[in-house]
Amino acid sequence: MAARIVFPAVIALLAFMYGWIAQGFPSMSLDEGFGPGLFPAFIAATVGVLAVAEVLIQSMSAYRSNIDPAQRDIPLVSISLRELVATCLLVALIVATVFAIRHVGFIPAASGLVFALSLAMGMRPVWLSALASIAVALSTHFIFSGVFGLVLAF
Amino acid sequence: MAPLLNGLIEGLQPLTLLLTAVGVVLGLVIAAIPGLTVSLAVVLLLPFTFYLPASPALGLLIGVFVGGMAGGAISAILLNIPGNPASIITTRDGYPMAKEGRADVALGIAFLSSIIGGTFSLIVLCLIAPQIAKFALLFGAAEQAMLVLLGLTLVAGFSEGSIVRGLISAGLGLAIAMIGLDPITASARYTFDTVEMQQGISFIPVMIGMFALPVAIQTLARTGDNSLPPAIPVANARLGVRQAIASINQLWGCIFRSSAIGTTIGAIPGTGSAIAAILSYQYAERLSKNRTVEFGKGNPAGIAAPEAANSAMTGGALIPMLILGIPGDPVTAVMLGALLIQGLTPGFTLFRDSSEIVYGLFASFGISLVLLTIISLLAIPLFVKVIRIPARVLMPTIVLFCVIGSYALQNSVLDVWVMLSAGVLAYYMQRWNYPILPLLLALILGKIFETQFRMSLIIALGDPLIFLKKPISLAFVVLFVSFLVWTVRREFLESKKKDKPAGPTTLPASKNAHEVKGK
Repeated sequence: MAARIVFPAVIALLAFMYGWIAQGFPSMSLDEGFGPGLFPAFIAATVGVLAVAEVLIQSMSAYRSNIDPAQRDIPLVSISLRELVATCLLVALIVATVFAIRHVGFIPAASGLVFALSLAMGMRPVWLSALASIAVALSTHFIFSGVFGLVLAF
Repeated sequence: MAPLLNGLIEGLQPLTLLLTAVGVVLGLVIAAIPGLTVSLAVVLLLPFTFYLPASPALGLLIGVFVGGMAGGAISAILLNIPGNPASIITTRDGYPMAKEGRADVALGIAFLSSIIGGTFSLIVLCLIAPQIAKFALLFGAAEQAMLVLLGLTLVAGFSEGSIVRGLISAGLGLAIAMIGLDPITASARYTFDTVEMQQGISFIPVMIGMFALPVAIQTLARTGDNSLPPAIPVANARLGVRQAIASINQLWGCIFRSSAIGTTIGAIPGTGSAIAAILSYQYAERLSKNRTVEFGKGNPAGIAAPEAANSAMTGGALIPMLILGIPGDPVTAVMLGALLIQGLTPGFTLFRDSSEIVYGLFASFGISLVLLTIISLLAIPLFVKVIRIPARVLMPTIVLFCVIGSYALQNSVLDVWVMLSAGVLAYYMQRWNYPILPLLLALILGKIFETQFRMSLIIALGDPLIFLKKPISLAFVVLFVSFLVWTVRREFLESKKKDKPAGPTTLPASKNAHEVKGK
């Protein structure tokens, strides 16, 4: 099955869980029907129905269409390895930066993030990349902390 | 006439003039930085106003407001990252235009439309403010709830992909908006017993993540790949301004209509600039005669309409704030605070007893628009230089700005995780042809929608027919149902004609990577 069916199916499952949790919300004593659970339940039902409808629409469309049968069997999530690596790398770098700011301070951690990303994105030579990273971190610190007065201690 | 002249003299005092100019520049710059909003800027500047007389203080704040509304378009057009919620819609046509090498034209259209929209609302503010305020008072809870519902459905319907996917996306946004304390009973919902989650999910980190991180993932995924897109070409900036003026000459109807929408929506407390931008865009799309370029692919009306509307909203938002003491949006809420600090009480008595300050504010508004015209048009060549910087140089800096921008909002690391999750979600949603715009707008408007919807039911003692009993609400319901029926019918006929699926998942993965863009 293709991602166009898996994604709405996951959404339908999440909508069910969302609605199920909403059942546990306290009801309003003044008017029990309009408590905190009303809107989440309404959203869960709507999204759930729409997601199931999307699964059906896509399933029917896939079998009715004249597309190449080979394309019907595209991988479960149809994501290239390159995209997956890029996503993981970006997430790892941002998480590492947030933790690094706590231990080494903003400027070294921010320089590290910019340096690593610019290298990963193909910026060369390395020394120029390192220099640019430090300059970016310093100027960012000046703008946000010096000018706007924001505290950058995560 | 005398109060207007006195106000003009007040607005032209050297200190007021200087601070208004500082406000315009700050507004333009701050709104162009992803994560820093106009609301944040006025909050940061509020302490300075304690030590200033009333007119310079209000001049500074109105300058930031006017500059900020126009400034949001800069990053929306150049980087596909909206500077504020009001410019989310501007990305749809602004960024495609920039990719074609016409960033200068797009910026020119955005700035000129903002200036015209702002001027329109200023004139309305001076002439018929009390009448507009009376009309805005007709909007009760039911009307506001149905207006938001209509706005969300319009966005879902006009987004890329099918209306079902658009509505699923909007539903996800509403679901996220429910996280935190219930606005009516203060019960915790989906907080997993954590204190941080009780504040809810702020839309700012979600907005930053959803627009900026997919581009970063895309750039990383293509490193060393020969399929890297060509650099965005840059045209002659001076020629671009002339072309923008030529485009504006063909869009007067669209701009005036959007300005009227923006002023009216701005006068309705609590609705905000995003709704004004959405409605004006949808009207522009439906009524536009110029179809040489499709909407969503760089149509000038797609930039002019939301920008005129969000600027016109500034004047509209001042109407209930000055006359009724009800702020129309977060910025006017801060301005109301500034007025109170100065010992001034909003209401009809304010116009009678302190007319020089009220009309001084109007004059500062007009002066801000004049300064905005000069500063923004002169600075276009400077702004356009941003896109000459290669993505591998610019993108790491943008990622750093995203981390700081989302953290700076509430000094909360949770917001950084929210930004990160939103970015990853947005990347894969777009890969599978789900629009992200409805999700974002539903997140922004979710709390208003829920509060007004439930308040309506509570007021009506549970009678859902309240939404049909009030004429304005009924009109919105009729528009909502008609639009749904029309869209479903149109999609059904189109699918019968094609009879084949149109999802990008039917394309090879490498080609899909090219399709990821802000929608």
